[in-house]
Amino acid sequence: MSDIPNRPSGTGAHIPAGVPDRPAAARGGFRRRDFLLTSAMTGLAVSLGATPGLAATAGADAEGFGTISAFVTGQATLNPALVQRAFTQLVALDGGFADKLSALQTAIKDSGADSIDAFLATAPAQDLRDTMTTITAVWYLGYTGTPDPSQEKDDAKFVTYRDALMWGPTSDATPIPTYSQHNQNYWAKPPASIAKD
Amino acid sequence: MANQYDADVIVIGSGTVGSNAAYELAKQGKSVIILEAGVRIPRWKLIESFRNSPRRQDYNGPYPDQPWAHTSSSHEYVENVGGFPMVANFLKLVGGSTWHWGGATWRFIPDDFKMKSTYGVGRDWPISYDDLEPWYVKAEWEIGVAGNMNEDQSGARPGQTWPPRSKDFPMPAQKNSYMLDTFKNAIAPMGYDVVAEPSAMMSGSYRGRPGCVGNNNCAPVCPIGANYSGVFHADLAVEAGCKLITDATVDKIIKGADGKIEAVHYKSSDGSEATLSAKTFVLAAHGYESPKLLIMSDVGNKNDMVGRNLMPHLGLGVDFFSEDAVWPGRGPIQQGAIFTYRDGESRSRHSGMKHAVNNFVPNENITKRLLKKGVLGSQLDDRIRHDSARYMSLYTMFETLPDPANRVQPGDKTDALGNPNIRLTYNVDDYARGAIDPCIGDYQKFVQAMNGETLNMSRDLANHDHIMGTTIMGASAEDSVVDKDCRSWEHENLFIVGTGNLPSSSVVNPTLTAVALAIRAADTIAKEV
Repeated sequence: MSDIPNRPSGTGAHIPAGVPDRPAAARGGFRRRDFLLTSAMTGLAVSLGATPGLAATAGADAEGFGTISAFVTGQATLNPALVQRAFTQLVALDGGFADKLSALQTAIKDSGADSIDAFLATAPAQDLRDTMTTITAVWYLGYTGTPDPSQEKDDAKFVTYRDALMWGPTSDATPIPTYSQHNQNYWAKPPASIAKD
Repeated sequence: MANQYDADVIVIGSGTVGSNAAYELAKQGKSVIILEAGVRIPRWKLIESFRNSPRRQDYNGPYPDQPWAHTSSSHEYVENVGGFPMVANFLKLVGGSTWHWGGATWRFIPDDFKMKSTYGVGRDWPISYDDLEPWYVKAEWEIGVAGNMNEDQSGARPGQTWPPRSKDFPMPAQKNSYMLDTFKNAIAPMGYDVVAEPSAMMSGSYRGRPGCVGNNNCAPVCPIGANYSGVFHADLAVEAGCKLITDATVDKIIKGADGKIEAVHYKSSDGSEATLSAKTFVLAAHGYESPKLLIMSDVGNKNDMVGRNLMPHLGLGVDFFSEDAVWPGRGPIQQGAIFTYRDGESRSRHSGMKHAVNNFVPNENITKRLLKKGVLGSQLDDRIRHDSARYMSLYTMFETLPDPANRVQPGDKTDALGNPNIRLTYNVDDYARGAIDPCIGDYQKFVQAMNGETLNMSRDLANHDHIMGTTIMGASAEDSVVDKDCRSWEHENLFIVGTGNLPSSSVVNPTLTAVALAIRAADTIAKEV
């Protein structure tokens, strides 16, 4: 997911080796399956709208989940290792998730929508919106399930921290906590965008 | 023949308080053993644990919680039997619970030391502010505190430096965030003043620590060590010659024939155990664990005062959307305070209070809120930016009064070493409840000043993780645990230090005061052993 704009530059040195939210390629552990999936999704992102039939090739498996995830979140690509992790966890959390995913795939395909906004404009049913919310939450928040720090244990499982999409919209103004991006006392001034914010 | 000892002094607990006492003793040439129930964890491992957990808002999350060294993460370990459930957050590792704190290092003010004689409530301390002032200076220079010399922190003496200071802070205050300055300017016409929070988050490099660069993760763990934690003094103590033994849970303080403490006994997770002797003992094991150990050992508790007078800081919070973008999350996670009711006549009727402004990156909470509202698609990014830029939150700490009925005791459950759990009994009184209305009144004005939209303004009290009174200091052996020097009334070579010493809670974070008392106690001990 190296094209995500919120990735702070020059922070690689601070990241301990083996932190699992780094793309496989960045760790040097490149695998054939990752390559195939990345290629497939990159292609999809370009052609999903132009060739809606492509969506039909996606099944209710990790690959299909990756395709739908990219569509729902408006991302060109998603890290295949994270796709696999998130899908496995979602299925474990909800035995009916694969069926919900299929239903969403079918609905998107049938709608002919070429973007998430176009699909939302078709007023999809609440159960489809719920599935999209589940998928969006995984990628924006970086976990499956619901963390509840007031309890000893909960059903939340980690997907990613730095690559969570919730950081992107504010990346020019605020840090991803623990990652240095700025100098001392930078906070005394507002971000450059303040007049437009 | 002279007695043989394992050390001049044994310190139980390697948190900020114990480590500062140990370091002072070592500097004065004493041989010191520090016993710590937890282990040493390098900072990078804590950061990695934080980044790899979905429970990012669990401040205990990155830290170990072991069957032989439980923290508050084990809910069965901390049991509430009173009317108010105290949510405790404490850690067990070298450096203690200041691994996850906001770095607030306030002094108490003179009236905090004489609540009974000034306001007719609570207790007076056996020492005055003036007695402690030189030790506050030492504590501030040990820890490294960044603050403004000329500020009224009482809320009642505009234009004065209050509390009075004999020496400046070792470091200047960090600059206010844009958000804090904007808020400060907005509420000034309503008569509110925002003062800088004295902070252990360094404003520049200090004693090997870097200056804060706003990673915005002071809790659960600062990634660079700009924020002070007790581990710095644990390391300094070891460098100065102290012997630090980890995975060593003291389960008995052993009395000798002459009324003095003779030794302590500890157990480790591998089943080993040992007894160590010393001339003097310093118990610095936390506001819950220290009294628990005293009661378990039947030490220093003839008057049944150990563990009683438990005082938390209670509090409320408010969050809202400001009309204009203010951009929280730039800088450390908290800055600034407002002291509408810290000192003055209202204190005879209800708790004093401190309002403080949060400054954490709000994206996760904002995103969860938007998803709950059904926002999807490209609108989601726009709303995350819009709402995150406008999110503001404040929290307020209420002081509480000492009441012997509020207490900590050993419970009936046992941990892997056979030691009892912690049982808390706490009930809220009308003194604290009386602060709710004035606090809400302030909140309404704060929201109004920012043309804000309120998200939450609850009247339900919650507690902060500050524990006072449980090893209370006093002028009389009848109603307190330690004397003015933190010495057990019953055992002349046992000193008990920590926030539990504090006979009043004030409205400010108690750590600096506990460190000042501990360094002072260490200085007393050094003259005797």
